[in-house]
Amino acid sequence: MSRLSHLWRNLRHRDRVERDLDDELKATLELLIDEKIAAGADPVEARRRAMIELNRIEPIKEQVRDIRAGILIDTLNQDVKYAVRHMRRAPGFAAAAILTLAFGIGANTAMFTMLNAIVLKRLPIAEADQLLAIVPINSRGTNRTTPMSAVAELRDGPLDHFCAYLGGLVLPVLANNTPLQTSTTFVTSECFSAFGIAPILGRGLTETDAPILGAGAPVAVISHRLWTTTYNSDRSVLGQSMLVNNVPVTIIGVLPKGFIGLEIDTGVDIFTPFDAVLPAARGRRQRASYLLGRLRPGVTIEAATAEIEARWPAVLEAVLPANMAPTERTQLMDSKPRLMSLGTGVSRLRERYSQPLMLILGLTGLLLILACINLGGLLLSRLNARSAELAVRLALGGSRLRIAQQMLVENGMLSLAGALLAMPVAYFTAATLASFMPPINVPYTISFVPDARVFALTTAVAITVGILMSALPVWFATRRSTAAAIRWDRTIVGTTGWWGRGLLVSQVSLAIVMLVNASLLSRSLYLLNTGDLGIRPDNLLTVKTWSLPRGTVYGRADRDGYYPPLVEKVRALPGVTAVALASSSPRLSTTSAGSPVAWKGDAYDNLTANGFDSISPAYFDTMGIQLLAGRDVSWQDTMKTIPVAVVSESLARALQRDGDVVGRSFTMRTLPTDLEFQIVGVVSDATHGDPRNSHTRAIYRPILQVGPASSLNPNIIIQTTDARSAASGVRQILSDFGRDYAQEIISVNDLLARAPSTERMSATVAGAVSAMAVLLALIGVHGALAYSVARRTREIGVRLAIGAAPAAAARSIMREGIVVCTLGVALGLPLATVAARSLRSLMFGISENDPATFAAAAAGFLLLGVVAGLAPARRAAAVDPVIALRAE
Amino acid sequence: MAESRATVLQGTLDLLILKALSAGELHGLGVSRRIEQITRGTFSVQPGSLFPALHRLEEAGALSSSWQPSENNRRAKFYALTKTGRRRLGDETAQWQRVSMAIGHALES
Repeated sequence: MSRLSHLWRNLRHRDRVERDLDDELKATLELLIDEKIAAGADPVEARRRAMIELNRIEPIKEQVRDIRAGILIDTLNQDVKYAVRHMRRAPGFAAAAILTLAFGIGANTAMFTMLNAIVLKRLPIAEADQLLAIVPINSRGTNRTTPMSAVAELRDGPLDHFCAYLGGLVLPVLANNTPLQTSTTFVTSECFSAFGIAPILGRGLTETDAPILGAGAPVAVISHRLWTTTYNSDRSVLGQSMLVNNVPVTIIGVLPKGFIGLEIDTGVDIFTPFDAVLPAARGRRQRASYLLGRLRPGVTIEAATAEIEARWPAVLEAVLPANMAPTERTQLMDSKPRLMSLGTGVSRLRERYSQPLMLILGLTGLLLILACINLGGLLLSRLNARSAELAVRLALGGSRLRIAQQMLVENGMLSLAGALLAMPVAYFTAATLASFMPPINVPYTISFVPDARVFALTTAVAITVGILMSALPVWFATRRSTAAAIRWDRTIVGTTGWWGRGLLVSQVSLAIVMLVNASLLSRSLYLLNTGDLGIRPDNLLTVKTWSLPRGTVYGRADRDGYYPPLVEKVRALPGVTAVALASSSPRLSTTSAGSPVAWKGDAYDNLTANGFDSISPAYFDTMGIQLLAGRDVSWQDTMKTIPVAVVSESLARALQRDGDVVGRSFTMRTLPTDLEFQIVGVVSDATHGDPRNSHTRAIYRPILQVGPASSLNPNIIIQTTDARSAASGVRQILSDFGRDYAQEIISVNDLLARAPSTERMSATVAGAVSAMAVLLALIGVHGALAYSVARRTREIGVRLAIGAAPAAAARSIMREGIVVCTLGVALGLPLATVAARSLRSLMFGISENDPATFAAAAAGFLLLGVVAGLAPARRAAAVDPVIALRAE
Repeated sequence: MAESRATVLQGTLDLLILKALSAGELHGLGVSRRIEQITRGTFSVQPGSLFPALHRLEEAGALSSSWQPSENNRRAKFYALTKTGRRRLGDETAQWQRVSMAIGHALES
């Protein structure tokens, strides 16, 4: 549009336009003078007279300027004023439209905020996407961790800054005399250059500090966040000592702000060399979670993968210990190395929540479309009401473009208001969603506050919405012939029109898709929450303990003299009926792939055990798990006696068909060395929180036989009728013992309620979104019917006047509502089936084609058709022919 | 009634400017002189109304402008009719003739 380009020029090149005008007027003055001289005046007189003639140069400029900048702004201004006036005249419509948009846009913004935070955000390093890790994947698709000495073998390979990284260990830390719960990561010297960051204070880790082979020096580089929070940004932090896993390490550097390692959920605050604070495993090197680096210049990712793949067997040959079982060696040798970008870091949240988040984003997207359709329909109705006005404007020479512009402005204002209101909606929705994420040892660092990218998206959505919801009405307004539109007001109109009806049907079918899926998800959630867990969670408290920083070193030392008396003391508290210790119980979810197990002497095959808990005696009694055969563990099972284990029924049956396994020994593959156990008992299956894994193949081992590698503090599980006094009692007892403190005390039922968090989140959001969808559909249908009655008042009046029964009028309105809903249901149910199929993985105990759910939703929408029609039908029946016809 | 006369004049002025430029491009003063000439001195357009009108027409796309040397070799801004301008001249001429005819009939009846 040339008018726009003029405006652009005028705003952009203000100076030039101004100068141009100046020049023009000056030139005119000169021309005028020339003219006067040619007519015989002397130059001085000519100039004087010309000046008089042009003496109001400034006012002229002023007028020209107004015209230049003004035209578009003028019309926009008019449009805005006009729109405001219109909204004032129909405040209900404006409010409904703005609210609808606020929820539609707000929900989408919130979802995108979450997606952005969890899935899309890059690590705060340069060219994050080019940070690559070698991930060995074997034929079964599981990735195997590699001994970190593979780094030494592949150092001259295609990856530059090649290094080993073992992240996110939660070790007890005492920094600046403050006990901390934070993550420690082991790195080799090249890691910081692989990340492309350098310490802002002090130095990084040198080859001598953090070698690939051999023990590292007791030094640490800390995160900016730890430096500011714990050391108050004190520059004298360098050279200070802190305790990590009770080993004194010297702080040698502080990393730049924002960098918290690869583990973006919680972040890492302390980077130390391998083997500096955690003893090296006997005879074998530590494993690394990632072997990472960046491509050397000029090397393509394909070439790099090919080279690593070619060298992989030789590398494994060199780093795998000679005494490894042949079958296991074959399995490892079978693995193929793949290069994977670590640009977005590592996130357990992402693994767990991307799918439900995508799903919810889809739902909220549908809601937004529905909102647009709804508003489009409302606008269409309003347009019909205004058709006379528009027709008059067209007849009087108003351009179609001008009318379209005005409607765009009107709808643009609505969507802008909606977008503004959407901000708080988005904020609260994101906060609510974030509260569904279960806390783990270290608080989350991911921020769910909308950022610039999110705002840009919201704005884009708002603009798109404005255009979308204007498109149809504008098309109509400019298409319809003037004559037809003027006549419109005078004719008797039958229905809402096919377009309006089509919009209503699509609204209803979208809403039913959402309702069906939300119902399926909430039914699943209910079944998950009420499913059989194999334990009795009532009256159970779990106390999460954590070492006091100066407590005893982790490991076996003196455990025999610590745990039995601790349990005894707690057992003696009033109201307490049973007490036990367990390393990780009840589990929030069993996500671990499990470790291979086999009868002693046999080769490992596909059998894995996926639960591995260390427990105290009486654990099974406390949890309500039944002992099926053999005996419970006892305090007499210590490091001095033969390692024993109790297995779950599922594991027993997997090892041997008849499940008679007591007394036999099996081995389990772990790092650094395989473990061997004699089975002393078999217990009933328990799920520890997720009814979907009702047959966990679990191994329970006596807590006093746990070696130093398992350094987790156990949870104390208390069966009591008096939770409050037990909580304060156990805190007191722990503090008397002086080693641990209670980090969190929570009832097992509360803990379990947290467990199906993805399902809970999906079900809650889907429920809320579908409720909004149903409400929108109801508003849409009701609005259309009410409008239809208003339009047909004259027709109904005529009919009543010539003897029709009022009930007939009401019936025809009701029929329209029911027809629309029936069509919507007929169209929506097949769509819902398709959508439900994609949600299968989130469902539990219910088929995605559950007939009851579908039938209920269908019935619900037919009822909605009836409900939506009630008030309009009553109004139709109450039309007074006299009044209706008087309007004519 | 000053206001209504102003609007009538404005409409007429646009028409006159378009007509003045229909024979070829002119600078601002030239437009003014040409109007005087073709209306046989009935209308003398003051710069205060001429320049805003020229710019308004240019803004509306009826005129285009360029800097060129004038007849006595001074730099001046010349205006020319665009396609839109030509069409507008035709429309407005027809409109004007209808109106003037109607008014004429009305006055004669």
